[in-house]
Amino acid sequence: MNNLHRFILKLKYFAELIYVFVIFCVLSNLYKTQFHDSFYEASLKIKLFYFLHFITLSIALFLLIKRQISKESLLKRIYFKAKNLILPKALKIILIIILFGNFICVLVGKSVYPFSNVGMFSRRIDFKKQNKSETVYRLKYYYYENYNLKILDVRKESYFFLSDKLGLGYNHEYTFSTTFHNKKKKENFEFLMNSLDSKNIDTLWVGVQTVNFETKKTSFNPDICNAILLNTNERYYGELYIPDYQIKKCDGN
Amino acid sequence: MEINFAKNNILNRINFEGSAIQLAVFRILLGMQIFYSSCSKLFDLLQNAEGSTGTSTVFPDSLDDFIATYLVDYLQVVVPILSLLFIVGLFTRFVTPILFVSFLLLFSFWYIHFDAPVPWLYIWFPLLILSFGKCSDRLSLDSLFFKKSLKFKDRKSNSYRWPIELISGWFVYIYFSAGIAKLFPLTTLFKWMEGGTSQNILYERFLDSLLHYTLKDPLFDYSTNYYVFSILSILSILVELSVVTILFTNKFNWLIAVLIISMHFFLFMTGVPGFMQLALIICVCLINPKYFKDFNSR
Repeated sequence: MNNLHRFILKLKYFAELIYVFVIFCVLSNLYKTQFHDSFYEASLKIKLFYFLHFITLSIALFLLIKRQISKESLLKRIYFKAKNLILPKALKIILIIILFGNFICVLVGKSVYPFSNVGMFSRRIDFKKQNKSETVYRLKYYYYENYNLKILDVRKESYFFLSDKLGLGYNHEYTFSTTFHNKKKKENFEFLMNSLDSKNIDTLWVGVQTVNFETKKTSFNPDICNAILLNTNERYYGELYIPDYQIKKCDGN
Repeated sequence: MEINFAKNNILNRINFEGSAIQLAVFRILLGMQIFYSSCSKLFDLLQNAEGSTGTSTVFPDSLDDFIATYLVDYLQVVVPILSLLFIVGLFTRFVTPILFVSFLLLFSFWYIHFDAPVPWLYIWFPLLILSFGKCSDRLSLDSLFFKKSLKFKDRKSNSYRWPIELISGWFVYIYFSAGIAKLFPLTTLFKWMEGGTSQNILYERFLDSLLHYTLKDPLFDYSTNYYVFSILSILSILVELSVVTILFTNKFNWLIAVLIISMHFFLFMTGVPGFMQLALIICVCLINPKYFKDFNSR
């Protein structure tokens, strides 16, 4: 085989991979793009969208099939190579199932445990349009230790070298769940209180920590009534659970 | 530097000679991670508070309910014990498959209430692979006590290599899929590349991030400077998609590992710390086995 022939063959292999990728991309894009109208009621622009996808898919499929008919198909080579791998037979079957499960998840953009599309942080957020303020308010629990105010930074507790109130089992996932997913729930607050029992913390208050990105300054306001006023659904992941004793103390203010 | 895709692709590398020490080191690190994750207080919290919703598993609802009602308490004990045996490499041949099944069941409960692919996504497949592999031939109590029954002479030349390469393949799947998930739908790709997602993370989570805990104040205005986040977002897609190179050659594994770890370090600092440790563990499989062999021969 001369060098030119070898080079052309490499190009053909590369092209074959491109066809496969294009087919995947077209299918995935079609599935993930959501239009409100059906095809027949849709605007010309949307019909053109479908038409272009159909044309691209047809061409890529045609070229891929054409490559498969020829003797020098990369996919065929991969298939035979994979078939002859020195691996336990049962594992080969399991690998095919896993490959298929994950392929479907990635194609349609959904996770079904234990298969995953690994789509974290793929959500589109139009930050500019949201016109966010330069100031962020975060409601946080705090307590008094020897008459000194201490902010309970629960997320900090999951970092081994920074943790001083919670132990090793309170890892990143726990602190995330308690700080964000479950922040509104009384059960979450009670669980946290029980965890702090051994540290002689029996009362937690809610205050407001603020960061002003324009002035690049952070501050903390321990005013318990101000915290109740700012505890709205506008906050990141919604409201924080505020204990009854704090609400009662602010009644009438 | 010569790059030979035909020789160095993953399907060929699977048949190469591997290192028993590399596989053992990976087993120990994976076991430690399983122990750490299965001892999480998150399980106790989720039994009290519901957590997030909207996730699903391949298991029927009845099994999910059965796990949540009856099995979680037992699995919370079983998985850490088995992971300890897995770390020290005792009865590994029997322990690993049981650990795999127990882990899969326990973390299905976790995922139903905690919508994030950490840590199970990084662990379950490598654990499955090690159930079939010879991961306790070195640095294990099995190799100390049952040397004769391990039958080292019967090992095929690639016995220690194929698990490592398959786990490298899993690494590719994780990051390449993450890149793909960001690409589609193409109609809104530009919006993603504007960087709103990463900017929102830093903006909203700053007060709960390592950046705040260590530096206290923001480095610059995270509510504007959109271009910084746009550049970071584009870079992250490029880094994630670049891992596909591992399938064709292992020459750039070190570079890919550095890029991925750098990306996770940024996330670690900005309030998304859960991924870095897991990525570091899998990166052990990206190291060329020859370095472990050199270590062995010294």
